[in-house]
Amino acid sequence: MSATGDAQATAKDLEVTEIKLKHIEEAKKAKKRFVLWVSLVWVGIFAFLLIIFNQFNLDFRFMLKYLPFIMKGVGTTIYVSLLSIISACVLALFGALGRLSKNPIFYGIATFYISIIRGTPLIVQIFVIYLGLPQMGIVISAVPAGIIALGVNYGAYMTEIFRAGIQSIGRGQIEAAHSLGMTYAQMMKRVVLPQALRLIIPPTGNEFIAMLKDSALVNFLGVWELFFRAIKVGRQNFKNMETLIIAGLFYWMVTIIFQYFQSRLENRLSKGTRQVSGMTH
Amino acid sequence: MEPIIIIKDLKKYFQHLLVLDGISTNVMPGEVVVIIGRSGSGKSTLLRCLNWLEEPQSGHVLVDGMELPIGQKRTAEVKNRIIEIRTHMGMVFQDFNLFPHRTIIDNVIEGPVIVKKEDRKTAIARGEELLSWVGMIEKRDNYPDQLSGGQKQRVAIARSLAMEPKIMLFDEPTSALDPELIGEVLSVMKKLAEEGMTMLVVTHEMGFAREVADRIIFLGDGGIIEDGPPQKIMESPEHEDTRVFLDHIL
Repeated sequence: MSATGDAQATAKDLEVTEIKLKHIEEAKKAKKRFVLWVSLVWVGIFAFLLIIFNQFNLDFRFMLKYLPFIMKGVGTTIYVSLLSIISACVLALFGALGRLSKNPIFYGIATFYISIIRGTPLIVQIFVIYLGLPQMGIVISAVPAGIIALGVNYGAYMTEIFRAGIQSIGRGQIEAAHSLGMTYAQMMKRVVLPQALRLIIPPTGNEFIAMLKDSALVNFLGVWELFFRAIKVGRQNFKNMETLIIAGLFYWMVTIIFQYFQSRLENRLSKGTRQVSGMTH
Repeated sequence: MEPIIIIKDLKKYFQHLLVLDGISTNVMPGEVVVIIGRSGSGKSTLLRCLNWLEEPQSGHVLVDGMELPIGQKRTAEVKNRIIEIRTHMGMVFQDFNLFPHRTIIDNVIEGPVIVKKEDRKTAIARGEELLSWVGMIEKRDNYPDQLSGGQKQRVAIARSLAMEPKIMLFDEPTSALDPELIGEVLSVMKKLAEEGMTMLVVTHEMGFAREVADRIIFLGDGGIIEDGPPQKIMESPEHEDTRVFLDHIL
């Protein structure tokens, strides 16, 4: 009986495996079909846009000629954005600690900072910093002024990201750190922030991508970044549309590239969690 | 012999809720005290007041000769004293609270290296000894989430012991565990008691209490209802409440 039973069991197992394989195969095909359709939609819309742009009577030879000149601004744009996001992160960290502080002075400073920055336009802040600091005898050139303005502005918004990340760490972790005798600073540095970072990094990547485009505003200070260069040659030749489209395409490309890196980073972070949490043995 | 913990008229409110209404008791060095009581009777709060995770409103508490800064201003001296008291007292939590982003050995050496500024090598050597002692040396380089609850709790005990405390506080150390994992944690705690550690244990494990405890304190209505050797409390409690409670959990 057992021999036939085993044989039956094996036959059944085989059948089950086959069904499973079939399902996996179908799922793969469906995914491929999905990707194919998405690509088609993208190409379709892009072609449609090209047709519309063609109605603008664009001077393509002019565009090709000035493409390298505008492209030189990409480096400045990325450089300004990178330094700005780093300053923003530092400010956001202190802003978040202040927001969470029971000390009225720290709490007051943090909330005032967030309120005034979120309550005024970025372009106003850029000019106030660039034109205001020299009045106080602090002469500052355009690039650092732009970086300070963008950093201060984004820092205020990102305070919420940092605060949420810090608050997501459970009370138990903080109590464990305290019961070992850690000070507030040791607890933050060793226990809370390393864990909060996992939650802080993905939205910070988003902020960086937004920053790449908001950095166009520093053109008003005369920083030779992407937008400034596009406007400059556009005005000189009365071909604003051409140069703006070039600048737009560059912003888009840089964004796509950083988005790619960001999704890779996010994958790695979530893999880390899976590796650490997942299995029990 | 001098008591290692002296508690006099300790009071703790949460908003308007009086949780501890004038607790007074002493704990001798090497004594194992099991604290029982209904949920909400303030057992955990009592432990958490001792290492300042909760701030009591009034009373006097001496831990190993150091006075808890009850009602005192938070000066630098007071802050240092709190840290000093905490390093003299290990605490084991119901839900372990291991640091998930660090390996087991790194969890264990965290206190000595960061708080006591101990040399990393020395800390690792002693950390490994402690991990062997709790039977967890094989998991040295694993992360906490790769461990079972019982294993996590044993590591948490090792992490507390790494600070070389004179007193160990256990806040329902087996309540979050599957029944089959409770034994391994209790046996480590028993071993610790046999080595002469002063222990305050909040638990419902009456078998452990009977076998290991020197004293059982039954808390209720914010105060100590009954306090005595396990034999007496469990077999011939004086107070009706104690009897009813024990009937419920045994």
